[in-house]
Amino acid sequence: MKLWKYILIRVLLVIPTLLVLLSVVFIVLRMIGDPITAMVGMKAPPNVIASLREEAGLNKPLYEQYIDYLYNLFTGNFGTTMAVDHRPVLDVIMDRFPATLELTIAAFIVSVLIGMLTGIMGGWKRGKLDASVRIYSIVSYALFIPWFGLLLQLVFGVYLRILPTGGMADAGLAPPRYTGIYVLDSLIAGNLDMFISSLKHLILPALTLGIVLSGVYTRLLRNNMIDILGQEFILAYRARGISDSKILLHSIKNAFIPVLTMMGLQFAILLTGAILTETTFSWPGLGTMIVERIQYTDYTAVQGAVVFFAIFVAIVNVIVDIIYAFLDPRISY
Amino acid sequence: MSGEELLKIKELKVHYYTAKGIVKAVDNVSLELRKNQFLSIVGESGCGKSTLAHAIPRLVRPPGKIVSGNIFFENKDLLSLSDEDIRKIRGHRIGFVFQDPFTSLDPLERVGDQISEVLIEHLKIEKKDAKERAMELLNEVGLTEDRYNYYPHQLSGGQRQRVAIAIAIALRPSLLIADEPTTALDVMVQSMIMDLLQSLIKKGMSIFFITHDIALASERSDEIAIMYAGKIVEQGQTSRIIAEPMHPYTQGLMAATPDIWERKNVTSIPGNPPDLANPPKGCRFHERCRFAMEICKEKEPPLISLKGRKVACWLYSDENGRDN
Repeated sequence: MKLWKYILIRVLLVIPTLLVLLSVVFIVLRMIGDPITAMVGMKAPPNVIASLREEAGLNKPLYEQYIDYLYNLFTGNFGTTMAVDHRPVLDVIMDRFPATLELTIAAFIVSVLIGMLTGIMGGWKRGKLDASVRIYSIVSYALFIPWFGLLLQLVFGVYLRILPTGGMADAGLAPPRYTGIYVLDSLIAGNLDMFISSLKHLILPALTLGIVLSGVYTRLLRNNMIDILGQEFILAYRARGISDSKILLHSIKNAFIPVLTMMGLQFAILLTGAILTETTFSWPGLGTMIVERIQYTDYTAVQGAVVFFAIFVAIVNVIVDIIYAFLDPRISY
Repeated sequence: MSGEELLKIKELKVHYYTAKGIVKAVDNVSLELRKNQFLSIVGESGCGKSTLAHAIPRLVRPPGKIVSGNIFFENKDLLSLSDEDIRKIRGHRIGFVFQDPFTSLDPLERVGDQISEVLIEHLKIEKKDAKERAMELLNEVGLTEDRYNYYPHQLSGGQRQRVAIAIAIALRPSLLIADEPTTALDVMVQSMIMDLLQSLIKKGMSIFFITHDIALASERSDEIAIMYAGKIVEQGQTSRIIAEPMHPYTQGLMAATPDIWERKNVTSIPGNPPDLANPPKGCRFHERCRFAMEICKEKEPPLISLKGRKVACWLYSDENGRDN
């Protein structure tokens, strides 16, 4: 009963967070200059510019624009793109979002797996292994995604020729669209070749992003493990004759809680990283979409994508908070 | 008082290898504990009493190390057992209660599950049976069964310590080591926990009790060992030692203990315990002792038997180790 109250409060708290986020997006996009002039150029006739401004609602006073903006977002109306295709922004986003989701989830799994494995090993065993783990955490964290991506492309795509360097699937092997997530769609379609092709395409981008983001988990888990293993209740477990493997599980559970918080925070970084990764691997996701639309100065599309990211991150963080409440009995709700 | 011998510690040395040097926390300690006996180790903070307690089930953590000696328990030398064999004794034959019940329970596990876990580990029984037994244990230590599903943070300090005791006695160990189990608790709770511990003697356990409180020890234990700077300085039947403390340190400890029934002047022992990385030559207490003689600064006094106890002081023995 109390738990549900806690969840409700967490969910309600998203509203002010989102409001702040949306306002920041609104302000920033209006500070970088007039989007219409930027889009059609200075030489466009004034009446064309004026009609475009009216179409975009830019002729209204700022506060009215702000209210319209919030109202539209609230009703799920992200506007229409201003360049190229003039489609509803949400449609364009939804076209691209599954690819980003596929990449981020895969990268997330890679980063957590590598981070947990290395962190736990370093914290549990110490010594030389621990020293290498610490070096790994610093090096991986310092990697620049496009550079590291290129390196992997070079090694696995060019020299070893075992993995593709870009795209989501080989020509002719793109699965029919159910969810937009290729790995999933190919399974739904029941086509093994398609599945292997999409999985192969996923490996390098997921490794690139996953490894770069794993260092944070490595470091955090290692430090937490050392801290937890030094605590008295671990000694108390030993005094009870509990086996090492069970003590390891208990210590991982304890060390994992701060990592969960980090996962929520990392998700925002994951999406930023996805933009760089997608560009490096020509991955047709939201990241490449944002880059394209920035080049067209298509501000409704950019605004839409940024807002979409913000909502996504906020929702992920609520989910993390809820999992947190289930895992940590000490949390007060 | 006499009974079968349960635990025999022989010339035990435990050292900590620190940056400051080798800290001899337990230095040549020999002790015996018989079945159904309540033995208190009394000493100030840092005298090595806690290290001694941890050393018995080999729980001394680095930089600490058991350097030499023997610990015979139920006819086995614990120091020569394999890691796996000592693990089977811990929690099963030797229970351990820690000082601070706020840190000695896993915050993420239900207290009942923590009791069940130790049962399952040693008896390889089903979860359901373990749970049933854990509920009985909760009753036994004075808690209701519904506490099974509580997390440690939902319980008071006294309740947590009861849980810790329930875990420690879950497998009916013959030896229960309690390392200042009441220090973190208030006086009323302390008294209840002590009653609980004492009741375990009747159930066939022996208690190795660590405390800094000589009054508490004298109230509850059959035998007392006074520890100072890593050594036992006086040891014997509680009644005898309390009636006639012989070692100047024991006398000092007793004089420093307030008595609410009798208004007496509480006098503290001057000075501080020595640095165990660099203990003084001779008797380790000589710098704080009002009876200190020349020999005390030079030679370590042997632990001799006298008036129904053992005492290590030059006041009672000559250089050849004979009684004066």
